[in-house]
Amino acid sequence: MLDEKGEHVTGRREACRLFDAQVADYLEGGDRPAVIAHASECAFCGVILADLRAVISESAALGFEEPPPRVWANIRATLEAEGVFREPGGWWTRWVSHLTSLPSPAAVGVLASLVILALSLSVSPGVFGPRTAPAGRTAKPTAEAVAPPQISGEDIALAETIKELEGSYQARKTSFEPAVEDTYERSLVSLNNSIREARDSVKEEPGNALAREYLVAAYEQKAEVLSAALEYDGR
Amino acid sequence: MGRPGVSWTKIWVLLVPLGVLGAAGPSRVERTIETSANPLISLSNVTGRVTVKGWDKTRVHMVSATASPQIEVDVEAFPPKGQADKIHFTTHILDSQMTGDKTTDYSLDVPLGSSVEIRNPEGSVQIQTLQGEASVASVGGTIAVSDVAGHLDVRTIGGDIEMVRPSGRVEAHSICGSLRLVSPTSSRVRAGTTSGKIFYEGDFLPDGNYELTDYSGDIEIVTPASASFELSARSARGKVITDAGISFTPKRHAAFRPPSGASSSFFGTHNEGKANVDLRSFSGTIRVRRLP
Repeated sequence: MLDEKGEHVTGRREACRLFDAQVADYLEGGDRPAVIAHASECAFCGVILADLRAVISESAALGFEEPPPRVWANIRATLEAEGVFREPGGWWTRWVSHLTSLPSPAAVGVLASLVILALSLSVSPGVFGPRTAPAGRTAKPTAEAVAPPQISGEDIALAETIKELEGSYQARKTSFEPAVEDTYERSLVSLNNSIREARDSVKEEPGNALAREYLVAAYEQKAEVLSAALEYDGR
Repeated sequence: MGRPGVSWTKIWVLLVPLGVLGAAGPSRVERTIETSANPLISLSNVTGRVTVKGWDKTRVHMVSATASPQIEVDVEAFPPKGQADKIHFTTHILDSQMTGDKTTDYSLDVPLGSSVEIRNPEGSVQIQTLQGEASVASVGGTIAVSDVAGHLDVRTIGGDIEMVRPSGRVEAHSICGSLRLVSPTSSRVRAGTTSGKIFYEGDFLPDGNYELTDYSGDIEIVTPASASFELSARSARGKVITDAGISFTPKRHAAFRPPSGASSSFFGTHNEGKANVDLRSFSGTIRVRRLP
């Protein structure tokens, strides 16, 4: 079977798996030419590599701050998804695995991206560099007043990743039973509304910790739903 | 010599269409398998109703009804002979291009000590009376579970979830569906939905942790006056309403001031505050009232 570029889908998936297997070593300085080569050919893996590079470069400037428990849960879920270890009674990862038969590099990539998003939205606002002060407020830093969280800069790559995932979903959903498609559509509409509302709240009130928390959660759920949909085999 | 030949021809003419008709119709499979007292039973279906009931026998009795001969029910027992510790029931669609009705209904009677894993993406699941664990996943189906004593892990994207009298750890999540928890005796409950509602009716166990999260839906807690719990309720854009019939001692320490962004929040202790109840919603209303 060929994809839109005329490449063999199975071949590309293997290349993606190889990319997943080697990218960590590459980022730690290992000599992995296949990673660069594949990232230049595969848009999806290219975005993931760009995300990871951005995180590495920006994390160098980060101070240590204990992230909320959800972040650790996400990391754990990602590791579980990668098969590093298994925990009985896991979260959505276990749920996704119930609904799927094949692990997908895309899903693992998205979960990894979610960890990045969760980290970037969970750390104190301001750690990623200069921010613009909200209109009508002074930028005077106090214990109460926090700078606006950056939800458009470092997350552009993630938004791109989710966008690509959505593109794949749009192509894939035509093969779903109407009832299944309807369920996924309804859930995505609901999550999109949540994301929009939370983003608006964060923009209006940059110090709104709850809105930021909900924004992360909505992104997480959306990517998880998309991953589950992409791996849904309908058997 | 000619007459018998004619007769056979007639018989074939009659039998062949009947056979085709029979093959095209629904089929029923019934199996009984001897098991250990605590077997693990997994079931993977596509669509249809799945009903699982615990009984006091060490055997599994399964009845399935498929809508099409293009669907096959596969049963695997481990070990294959003697008392099974593990059984897999799997629905196979024999023709991947099949467009007709893919429904398979299952009815299982299982030992009380069983643990079950049910995957029924497009169908409903009902589980009654189990002492083991239950894990259920669906995309759009409704999930109803009652009297499960083990860990309960229930996930659906669009379906509603109802859990009656669970007594083990509860994890329940949906995106569009509503969650309903009635008379739980669990000390660990973690449940969430994005746009559905959450309804909790019952007491809270001492030292228990109850975490209910919603986005745009409402959360309603109905609990007896004798319940003992600390309440943390926060809504970014909605309201937190506590019924006058249930009195709280508000937390006064600065650490319990409303979190940044919470348009409405409440931190208080009811009775001795033995359990921890954490309720969060973004734009929904959180309401706590006394059980009449």
